[in-house]
Amino acid sequence: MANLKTDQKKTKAQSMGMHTEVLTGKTQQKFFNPDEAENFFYWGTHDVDFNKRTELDVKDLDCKEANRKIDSLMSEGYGTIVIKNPQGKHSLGVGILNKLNLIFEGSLGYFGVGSIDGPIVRVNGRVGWSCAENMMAGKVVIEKNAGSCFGAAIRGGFLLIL
Amino acid sequence: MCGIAGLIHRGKSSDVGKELQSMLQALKHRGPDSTGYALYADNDGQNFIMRFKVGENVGEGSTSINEDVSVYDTRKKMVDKKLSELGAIIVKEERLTPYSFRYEIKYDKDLMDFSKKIESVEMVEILSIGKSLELIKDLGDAKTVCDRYELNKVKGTHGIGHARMATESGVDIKSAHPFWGYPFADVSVVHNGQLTNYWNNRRALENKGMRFMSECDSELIAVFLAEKMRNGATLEEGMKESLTGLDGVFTYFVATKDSLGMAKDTMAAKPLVLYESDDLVAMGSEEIAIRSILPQEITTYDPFDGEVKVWQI
Repeated sequence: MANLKTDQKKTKAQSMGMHTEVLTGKTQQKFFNPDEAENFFYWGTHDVDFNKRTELDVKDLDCKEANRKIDSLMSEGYGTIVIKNPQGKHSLGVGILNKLNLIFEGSLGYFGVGSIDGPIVRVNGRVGWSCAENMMAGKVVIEKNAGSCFGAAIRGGFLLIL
Repeated sequence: MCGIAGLIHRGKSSDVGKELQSMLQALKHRGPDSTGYALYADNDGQNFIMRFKVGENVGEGSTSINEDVSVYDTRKKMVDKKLSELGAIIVKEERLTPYSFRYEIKYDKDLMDFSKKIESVEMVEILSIGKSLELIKDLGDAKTVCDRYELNKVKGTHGIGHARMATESGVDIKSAHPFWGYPFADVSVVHNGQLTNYWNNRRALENKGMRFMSECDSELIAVFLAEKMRNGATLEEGMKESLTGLDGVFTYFVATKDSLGMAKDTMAAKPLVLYESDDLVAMGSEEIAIRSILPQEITTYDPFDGEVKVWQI
């Protein structure tokens, strides 16, 4: 499957097949055919194995580096990622459109795991303001407490504060 | 969007200068314009420490008027003359930048008259007076200000600090936080937010003889609390009254010689994260500020709307 996050802009449309697509109306049917399992996944997502587990220490990473690292681990097929030392950093684990077991061993700052679609997230600490905003699907479990705007504007999924 | 941080060690003193510096540096992205510290240092408690400035040659990025450095010497001499007229004895004097001074003085009369006399000199502003309060504010990030004024060495029990993003008034030292609770020794305030009934309150307080040095809305909190305390209210009572007396969005900290308090407005529109243990209370606009001094796993929480808390050392 083409990876939208790494593809250049010019080739994105090509890799989605838009240049060769015959626009007869039947393409719509084919594109959203629920029988084909691949239509349930986003373009550019990765096939991961929940039994493949790894740890990621984000102590010296900023949020962009950490999020890129999570993406690259998923591309290697890791389905369970344990984040060590989040230490209240902001915007960790945002924009994950993949199935994934994501475990934070510590607390998140503001805007944690925003705009996610699919992953199962467990936070051993607390989360600050605006966690899990704009979530489409998946699960987010917080063990301690959560700040304001938790799960604002969600369209689906499951939120739990223990 | 400003960043505020505060900490209080209960029962012991520590390197508050260094700790507050790393907390504020972690909040740099919330306010790059200026940084201020109010540290409660372990001084002998005999003399008053007066920090004042005679001008603001802070250069680029500032909205203040740049003056020739020679006028500062003239103004300093005038301040010295006023001090001797008041009967205050200068025990020790330090000149930290061309425009800012730290004096240790012996004086035992009314501080309001004292401040009025000193500030009658053109462009002179007293940043703070107190027996343990060291109030420093200047343009630049936390590290720049800390290095310029050698705050790393300061040991004490508690302190509050502020990283400012100017929204309501200019980028200059007079509008920078913390604000001294004129004319009370050892009272300082930092604030994150906007006050919307500034002018109404200011007019009322000015009629009661209180003094405003800047047009920064946050100064109102210091003056508001000082006025309540002058009329016999305790710090906590004054803070509770401020929740209804002040309009707008705010989270602010107040520190006195032996206590530290926080208040959050009734809409809880400004963030605050709090860590509380038996020997240390640390709080900041973001959790990363607390984590910069406590890297281990800790339990923190957000205070609720309209919450007022005061801790003693």
